[in-house]
Amino acid sequence: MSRRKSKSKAELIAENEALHRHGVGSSIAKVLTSLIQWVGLSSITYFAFRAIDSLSGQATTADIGVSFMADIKVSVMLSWAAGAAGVAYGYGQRKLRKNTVEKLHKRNQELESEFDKRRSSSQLTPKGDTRDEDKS
Amino acid sequence: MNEITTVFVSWVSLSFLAIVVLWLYKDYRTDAFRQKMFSLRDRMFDDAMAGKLSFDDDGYGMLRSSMNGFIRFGHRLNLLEIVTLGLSMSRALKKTPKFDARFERNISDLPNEKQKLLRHYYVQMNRLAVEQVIKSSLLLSLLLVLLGLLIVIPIAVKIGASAAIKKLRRKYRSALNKLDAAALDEGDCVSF
Repeated sequence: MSRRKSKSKAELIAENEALHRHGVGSSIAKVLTSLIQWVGLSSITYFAFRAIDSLSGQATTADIGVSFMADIKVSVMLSWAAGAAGVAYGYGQRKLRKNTVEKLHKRNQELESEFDKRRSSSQLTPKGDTRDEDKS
Repeated sequence: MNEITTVFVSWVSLSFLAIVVLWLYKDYRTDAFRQKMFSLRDRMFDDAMAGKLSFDDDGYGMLRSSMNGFIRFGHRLNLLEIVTLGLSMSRALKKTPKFDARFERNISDLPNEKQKLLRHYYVQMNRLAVEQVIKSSLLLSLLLVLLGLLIVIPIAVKIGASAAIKKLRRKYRSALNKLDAAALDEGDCVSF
């Protein structure tokens, strides 16, 4: 009844080749994704420093600090605080959800296995995260 | 605000936005996708418990393994991955039976009601995967939509809308077959 037993040798070889090629493709995609992320963040920092660099010689670091503290508006600080609070709230909720998943998953697994003897699993960690070996 | 303050405020705000879009949103999308796929898998399990499907059906096992593959590698399901998957696996997958053909073969002996229900789950699984690909790659999907509009509309006008739709559906099915086969292979490697 198993699907694996019904596969011929040629099919298994082809499947192995497909998995290998999938691994190569995934590695390329991972490199490109990281490149987009880090180039994006680095570009923002680069252009910010270029803008500050153009002011060099016109003011000292202390001048910049004093000027910044005097000039920064309460509305800007409030916006940042709201953003940071949103992220902290989201992180807290995420942690709560993962704790609940961890608490329920084993029970669910045991109960389902009683009815489905061939039950397959997603192989995530008990908290529902990607396993370390699947990240690479 | 003076120039330095403006630069600093812009830098912090843009960096924060970049972190949210490029990292935090990506994590959120992965979790949301997994949650939806788990929910679909649970509904299919419930239908099997209710007797509408059988745990021993090969079609059920194939779909469950594919869903597990999608859940396990949900963090890699994005447009770039699909493009590289398509390019790298095209030749290898030609040697194996297409996913939809294997699925149809596996459900062919089942009663009509079961076939219909399993096809429903198959369509839902693919709908979730496509939704994830689109939603997880914001910038790339915007680019794809623009390119699609620039290419699809002239083709539709030129060769007729119905022929263009048929052609697109064949391409869409072919891409999904590759994705499903990859998910099945990954999910098939693991068992409880």
